[in-house]
Amino acid sequence: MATTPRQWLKRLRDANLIPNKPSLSAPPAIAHNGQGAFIPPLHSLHITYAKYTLGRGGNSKGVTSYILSNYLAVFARDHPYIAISVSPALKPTVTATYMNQQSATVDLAGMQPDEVRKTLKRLAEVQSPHSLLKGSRYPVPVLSGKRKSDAAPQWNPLTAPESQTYRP
Amino acid sequence: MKLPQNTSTISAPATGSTAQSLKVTPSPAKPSPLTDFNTVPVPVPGPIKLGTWGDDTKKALSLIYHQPSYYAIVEIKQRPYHVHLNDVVITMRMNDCKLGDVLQLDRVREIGSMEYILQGNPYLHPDYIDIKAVVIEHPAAKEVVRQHWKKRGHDKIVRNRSHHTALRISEINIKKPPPT
Repeated sequence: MATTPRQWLKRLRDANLIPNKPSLSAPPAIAHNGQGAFIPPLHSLHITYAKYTLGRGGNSKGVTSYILSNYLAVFARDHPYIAISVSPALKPTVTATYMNQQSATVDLAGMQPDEVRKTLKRLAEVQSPHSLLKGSRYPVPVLSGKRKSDAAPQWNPLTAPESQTYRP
Repeated sequence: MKLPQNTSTISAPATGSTAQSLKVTPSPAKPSPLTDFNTVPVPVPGPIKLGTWGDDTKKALSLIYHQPSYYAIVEIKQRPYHVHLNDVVITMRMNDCKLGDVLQLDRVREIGSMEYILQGNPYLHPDYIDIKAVVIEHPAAKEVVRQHWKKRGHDKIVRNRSHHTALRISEINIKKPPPT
Protein backbone atom coordinates (compact mmCIF):
# COMPACT_ATOMS: atom_id res chain seq x y z
CA MET A 1 0.00 0.00 0.00
CA ALA A 2 1.03 3.66 -0.27
CA THR A 3 3.10 5.07 2.57
CA THR A 4 1.07 7.18 4.98
CA PRO A 5 2.22 10.65 6.14
CA ARG A 6 3.04 9.17 9.53
CA GLN A 7 5.32 6.61 7.94
CA TRP A 8 7.04 9.31 5.85
CA LEU A 9 7.70 11.35 9.00
CA LYS A 10 9.11 8.32 10.80
CA ARG A 11 11.50 7.63 7.92
CA LEU A 12 12.65 11.24 7.85
CA ARG A 13 13.19 11.23 11.61
CA ASP A 14 15.14 7.99 11.51
CA ALA A 15 17.33 9.49 8.79
CA ASN A 16 17.81 12.67 10.94
CA LEU A 17 16.52 14.84 8.13
CA ILE A 18 13.91 16.51 10.37
CA PRO A 19 14.34 17.29 14.07
CA ASN A 20 13.44 14.38 16.31
CA LYS A 21 11.37 16.15 18.98
CA PRO A 22 8.85 14.32 21.20
CA SER A 23 5.28 15.07 20.13
CA LEU A 24 3.01 17.17 22.27
CA SER A 25 0.45 14.37 22.50
CA ALA A 26 2.98 11.94 23.97
CA PRO A 27 2.60 11.51 27.73
CA PRO A 28 5.23 13.42 29.71
CA ALA A 29 7.79 11.55 31.77
CA ILE A 30 6.73 10.82 35.33
CA ALA A 31 8.56 12.97 37.81
CA HIS A 32 10.50 11.01 40.41
CA ASN A 33 12.29 13.87 42.10
CA GLY A 34 12.67 13.10 45.78
CA GLN A 35 12.18 9.33 45.60
CA GLY A 36 15.86 8.50 45.93
CA ALA A 37 17.71 11.78 45.77
CA PHE A 38 16.32 15.28 45.41
CA ILE A 39 17.69 17.44 42.59
CA PRO A 40 16.65 21.09 42.76
CA PRO A 41 14.77 21.89 39.56
CA LEU A 42 16.10 25.40 38.85
CA HIS A 43 19.38 25.24 36.91
CA SER A 44 20.24 28.75 35.86
CA LEU A 45 19.21 32.36 36.11
CA HIS A 46 20.24 34.92 33.53
CA ILE A 47 19.69 38.47 34.76
CA THR A 48 19.82 41.40 32.35
CA TYR A 49 19.68 45.13 32.96
CA ALA A 50 18.96 48.02 30.61
CA LYS A 51 22.43 49.36 29.85
CA TYR A 52 21.74 52.50 27.85
CA THR A 53 19.33 54.21 30.26
CA LEU A 54 21.29 53.66 33.47
CA GLY A 55 22.58 57.18 33.93
CA ARG A 56 19.28 58.77 32.96
CA GLY A 57 16.87 57.11 35.36
CA GLY A 58 15.62 54.14 33.45
CA ASN A 59 13.80 51.04 34.65
CA SER A 60 16.78 49.06 35.95
CA LYS A 61 17.43 50.86 39.23
CA GLY A 62 16.02 48.00 41.29
CA VAL A 63 17.91 45.33 39.39
CA THR A 64 21.24 47.15 39.52
CA SER A 65 20.98 47.94 43.21
CA TYR A 66 20.00 44.31 43.83
CA ILE A 67 23.12 43.14 42.01
CA LEU A 68 25.50 45.70 43.58
CA SER A 69 24.23 45.21 47.12
CA ASN A 70 24.64 42.03 49.15
CA TYR A 71 21.30 40.57 48.03
CA LEU A 72 22.49 38.68 44.97
CA ALA A 73 25.54 37.28 46.77
CA VAL A 74 23.33 36.03 49.62
CA PHE A 75 20.97 34.40 47.12
CA ALA A 76 23.87 32.76 45.31
CA ARG A 77 25.32 31.51 48.58
CA ASP A 78 21.99 30.03 49.68
CA HIS A 79 21.47 28.33 46.31
CA PRO A 80 24.89 27.01 45.22
CA TYR A 81 23.32 24.75 42.57
CA ILE A 82 22.04 27.67 40.44
CA ALA A 83 24.24 29.15 37.72
CA ILE A 84 23.71 32.92 37.84
CA SER A 85 24.85 35.19 35.05
CA VAL A 86 24.43 38.93 34.54
CA SER A 87 24.68 40.82 31.29
CA PRO A 88 23.67 44.21 29.84
CA ALA A 89 20.77 44.31 27.43
CA LEU A 90 17.95 46.55 26.32
CA LYS A 91 15.44 45.52 29.01
CA PRO A 92 15.76 44.31 32.61
CA THR A 93 14.61 40.69 32.72
CA VAL A 94 15.43 37.40 34.37
CA THR A 95 15.35 34.13 32.43
CA ALA A 96 15.04 30.98 34.53
CA THR A 97 15.87 27.57 33.05
CA TYR A 98 14.56 24.46 34.77
CA MET A 99 15.41 20.78 34.84
CA ASN A 100 12.71 19.94 32.26
CA GLN A 101 14.50 22.32 29.82
CA GLN A 102 11.66 24.80 30.03
CA SER A 103 12.48 28.42 30.61
CA ALA A 104 10.51 31.44 31.74
CA THR A 105 11.28 35.13 31.37
CA VAL A 106 10.04 37.62 33.93
CA ASP A 107 10.17 41.37 33.30
CA LEU A 108 11.85 43.33 36.10
CA ALA A 109 11.22 46.83 34.74
CA GLY A 110 10.49 49.39 37.43
CA MET A 111 10.80 46.90 40.29
CA GLN A 112 12.33 47.73 43.65
CA PRO A 113 15.23 45.55 44.91
CA ASP A 114 12.92 43.83 47.37
CA GLU A 115 10.51 42.91 44.59
CA VAL A 116 13.40 41.54 42.53
CA ARG A 117 14.44 39.45 45.53
CA LYS A 118 10.91 38.05 45.90
CA THR A 119 10.72 37.23 42.18
CA LEU A 120 13.98 35.27 42.29
CA LYS A 121 12.83 33.50 45.46
CA ARG A 122 9.59 32.48 43.72
CA LEU A 123 11.53 31.23 40.72
CA ALA A 124 13.78 29.10 42.93
CA GLU A 125 10.90 27.46 44.80
CA VAL A 126 8.97 26.17 41.81
CA GLN A 127 9.42 23.00 39.72
CA SER A 128 8.48 24.36 36.32
CA PRO A 129 7.58 27.75 34.82
CA HIS A 130 4.03 26.60 34.15
CA SER A 131 3.19 26.40 37.83
CA LEU A 132 4.91 29.75 38.35
CA LEU A 133 3.11 31.72 35.69
CA LYS A 134 -0.29 30.12 35.80
CA GLY A 135 -0.54 28.30 39.12
CA SER A 136 -2.31 25.02 39.51
CA ARG A 137 -5.48 24.02 41.25
CA TYR A 138 -5.04 20.82 43.20
CA PRO A 139 -8.35 18.90 43.30
CA VAL A 140 -6.96 16.33 45.74
CA PRO A 141 -4.36 16.87 48.43
CA VAL A 142 -2.41 13.70 47.55
CA LEU A 143 -1.14 12.94 44.03
CA SER A 144 -0.49 9.22 43.84
CA GLY A 145 0.51 6.73 41.18
CA LYS A 146 -1.34 3.77 39.72
CA ARG A 147 -0.10 1.05 42.09
CA LYS A 148 -1.93 2.35 45.16
CA SER A 149 -4.50 -0.45 44.94
CA ASP A 150 -1.73 -2.90 45.91
CA ALA A 151 -1.84 -1.62 49.48
CA ALA A 152 -5.61 -1.27 49.82
CA PRO A 153 -6.96 -3.53 52.55
CA GLN A 154 -9.25 -6.32 51.38
CA TRP A 155 -12.90 -5.83 52.14
CA ASN A 156 -13.91 -7.59 55.33
CA PRO A 157 -17.53 -7.51 56.59
CA LEU A 158 -16.35 -7.13 60.19
CA THR A 159 -13.91 -4.23 59.81
CA ALA A 160 -14.90 -2.47 56.56
CA PRO A 161 -15.83 1.22 56.75
CA GLU A 162 -19.34 2.33 55.76
CA SER A 163 -18.06 4.23 52.71
CA GLN A 164 -16.74 1.01 51.18
CA THR A 165 -19.81 -1.07 51.95
CA TYR A 166 -22.73 -1.57 49.58
CA ARG A 167 -26.14 -2.09 51.15
CA PRO A 168 -28.82 -2.89 48.56
CA MET B 1 2.48 72.77 90.38
CA LYS B 2 5.20 70.57 91.73
CA LEU B 3 4.74 66.91 90.95
CA PRO B 4 5.49 64.35 93.68
CA GLN B 5 8.97 62.91 93.16
CA ASN B 6 8.25 59.36 94.18
CA THR B 7 5.60 58.48 91.65
CA SER B 8 5.83 54.78 92.23
CA THR B 9 4.21 54.76 95.66
CA ILE B 10 0.47 54.30 95.79
CA SER B 11 -0.83 55.24 99.20
CA ALA B 12 -4.16 53.87 100.38
CA PRO B 13 -6.77 56.38 101.64
CA ALA B 14 -6.48 57.19 105.34
CA THR B 15 -9.59 55.68 106.92
CA GLY B 16 -8.39 55.32 110.44
CA SER B 17 -6.65 51.98 109.88
CA THR B 18 -2.95 51.81 109.23
CA ALA B 19 -2.52 52.74 105.59
CA GLN B 20 0.39 50.89 104.07
CA SER B 21 1.91 52.35 100.97
CA LEU B 22 2.31 49.76 98.21
CA LYS B 23 5.52 50.07 96.31
CA VAL B 24 5.33 49.04 92.70
CA THR B 25 8.81 48.09 91.57
CA PRO B 26 9.23 46.84 88.03
CA SER B 27 10.51 43.27 88.01
CA PRO B 28 13.20 42.29 85.51
CA ALA B 29 11.65 40.91 82.30
CA LYS B 30 12.09 37.16 82.22
CA PRO B 31 12.25 35.52 78.83
CA SER B 32 9.17 33.43 78.24
CA PRO B 33 7.68 31.66 75.23
CA LEU B 34 5.08 34.41 74.97
CA THR B 35 7.60 37.21 74.50
CA ASP B 36 10.64 35.55 72.95
CA PHE B 37 9.46 33.41 70.10
CA ASN B 38 12.89 32.67 68.76
CA THR B 39 14.97 32.14 71.87
CA VAL B 40 12.86 30.16 74.31
CA PRO B 41 11.59 26.86 72.91
CA VAL B 42 8.17 25.64 74.02
CA PRO B 43 8.59 22.18 75.53
CA VAL B 44 6.72 19.61 73.44
CA PRO B 45 5.89 16.33 75.19
CA GLY B 46 7.62 13.53 73.32
CA PRO B 47 6.58 9.89 73.05
CA ILE B 48 7.06 7.62 76.05
CA LYS B 49 10.16 5.49 76.15
CA LEU B 50 9.50 1.88 75.26
CA GLY B 51 11.01 -1.01 77.15
CA THR B 52 11.69 -4.42 75.63
CA TRP B 53 9.13 -5.39 73.02
CA GLY B 54 6.76 -8.20 73.92
CA ASP B 55 6.42 -11.38 71.86
CA ASP B 56 2.89 -10.50 70.69
CA THR B 57 4.12 -7.10 69.51
CA LYS B 58 6.99 -8.68 67.60
CA LYS B 59 4.70 -11.25 65.94
CA ALA B 60 2.17 -8.61 64.90
CA LEU B 61 4.83 -6.31 63.51
CA SER B 62 6.57 -9.11 61.62
CA LEU B 63 3.25 -10.05 59.96
CA ILE B 64 2.84 -6.55 58.59
CA TYR B 65 6.58 -6.13 57.93
CA HIS B 66 6.56 -8.95 55.38
CA GLN B 67 3.75 -7.41 53.31
CA PRO B 68 4.84 -6.06 49.90
CA SER B 69 3.47 -2.53 50.14
CA TYR B 70 1.97 -0.24 52.76
CA TYR B 71 -0.34 2.73 53.01
CA ALA B 72 -0.32 5.12 55.93
CA ILE B 73 -2.63 7.75 57.38
CA VAL B 74 -0.38 10.52 58.64
CA GLU B 75 -1.15 13.92 60.11
CA ILE B 76 0.66 16.93 58.74
CA LYS B 77 -0.26 20.24 60.33
CA GLN B 78 -3.08 18.39 62.14
CA ARG B 79 -4.68 17.27 58.87
CA PRO B 80 -4.83 13.58 57.91
CA TYR B 81 -3.48 12.34 54.59
CA HIS B 82 -3.83 8.82 53.16
CA VAL B 83 -0.43 8.20 51.53
CA HIS B 84 1.58 5.54 49.75
CA LEU B 85 5.23 5.41 48.83
CA ASN B 86 6.34 8.08 46.32
CA ASP B 87 3.14 10.07 46.64
CA VAL B 88 3.18 13.85 46.46
CA VAL B 89 1.30 15.48 49.33
CA ILE B 90 0.16 19.09 48.89
CA THR B 91 0.00 20.74 52.31
CA MET B 92 -0.20 24.24 53.72
CA ARG B 93 2.90 26.29 53.10
CA MET B 94 5.74 25.71 55.54
CA ASN B 95 8.22 28.57 55.31
CA ASP B 96 10.73 26.92 57.64
CA CYS B 97 11.36 24.14 55.11
CA LYS B 98 13.74 24.58 52.19
CA LEU B 99 13.82 22.43 49.06
CA GLY B 100 15.38 19.07 49.79
CA ASP B 101 14.67 19.04 53.53
CA VAL B 102 13.69 15.63 54.90
CA LEU B 103 10.82 15.57 57.40
CA GLN B 104 10.27 12.71 59.81
CA LEU B 105 6.51 12.26 60.20
CA ASP B 106 5.70 11.14 63.74
CA ARG B 107 1.92 11.64 63.90
CA VAL B 108 0.91 8.35 62.26
CA ARG B 109 -2.68 7.27 62.81
CA GLU B 110 -2.66 4.03 60.89
CA ILE B 111 -0.44 1.90 58.72
CA GLY B 112 -1.69 -1.05 56.71
CA SER B 113 -1.51 -3.29 53.68
CA MET B 114 -3.73 -5.70 51.80
CA GLU B 115 -4.07 -8.14 54.72
CA TYR B 116 -3.17 -6.34 57.96
CA ILE B 117 -3.83 -2.96 59.52
CA LEU B 118 -2.01 -1.43 62.48
CA GLN B 119 -4.04 1.29 64.17
CA GLY B 120 -2.78 3.78 66.67
CA ASN B 121 -4.52 5.08 69.78
CA PRO B 122 -4.52 7.84 68.59
CA TYR B 123 -1.00 7.62 67.13
CA LEU B 124 1.55 4.87 66.63
CA HIS B 125 4.87 4.96 68.44
CA PRO B 126 7.76 6.18 66.23
CA ASP B 127 9.93 3.28 67.43
CA TYR B 128 7.78 0.96 65.30
CA ILE B 129 7.50 3.05 62.13
CA ASP B 130 9.66 5.28 59.95
CA ILE B 131 7.91 7.63 57.52
CA LYS B 132 9.95 10.31 55.75
CA ALA B 133 8.91 13.09 53.40
CA VAL B 134 11.09 15.29 51.19
CA VAL B 135 10.18 18.90 50.43
CA ILE B 136 10.21 19.22 46.63
CA GLU B 137 8.38 22.44 45.84
CA HIS B 138 6.57 25.47 47.23
CA PRO B 139 3.88 25.97 44.60
CA ALA B 140 1.25 28.67 44.45
CA ALA B 141 -2.28 27.84 43.35
CA LYS B 142 -4.16 29.59 40.56
CA GLU B 143 -5.42 32.99 41.60
CA VAL B 144 -9.11 33.06 42.42
CA VAL B 145 -10.84 36.36 41.60
CA ARG B 146 -14.23 37.03 43.10
CA GLN B 147 -16.12 39.96 41.62
CA HIS B 148 -19.30 41.56 42.83
CA TRP B 149 -20.82 44.24 40.61
CA LYS B 150 -23.00 46.53 42.64
CA LYS B 151 -25.80 48.65 41.22
CA ARG B 152 -24.51 52.07 42.27
CA GLY B 153 -20.80 51.55 41.79
CA HIS B 154 -18.44 50.50 44.64
CA ASP B 155 -17.78 47.20 42.92
CA LYS B 156 -15.79 44.66 44.85
CA ILE B 157 -12.94 42.59 43.49
CA VAL B 158 -11.25 40.17 45.89
CA ARG B 159 -8.16 38.27 44.78
CA ASN B 160 -7.04 35.18 46.62
CA ARG B 161 -4.04 32.99 46.00
CA SER B 162 -3.21 30.09 48.28
CA HIS B 163 0.34 28.87 48.78
CA HIS B 164 1.30 25.26 49.34
CA THR B 165 4.25 22.98 50.05
CA ALA B 166 4.69 19.76 48.08
CA LEU B 167 6.13 16.79 49.97
CA ARG B 168 7.14 13.49 48.41
CA ILE B 169 6.81 10.48 50.69
CA SER B 170 10.19 8.86 50.23
CA GLU B 171 10.02 6.13 52.88
CA ILE B 172 7.38 4.08 54.67
CA ASN B 173 9.17 1.46 56.75
CA ILE B 174 8.34 -0.76 59.66
CA LYS B 175 11.28 -1.02 61.99
CA LYS B 176 12.75 -4.21 63.33
CA PRO B 177 12.93 -4.83 67.08
CA PRO B 178 16.11 -3.59 68.77
CA PRO B 179 18.73 -6.26 69.46
CA THR B 180 18.38 -7.67 73.00
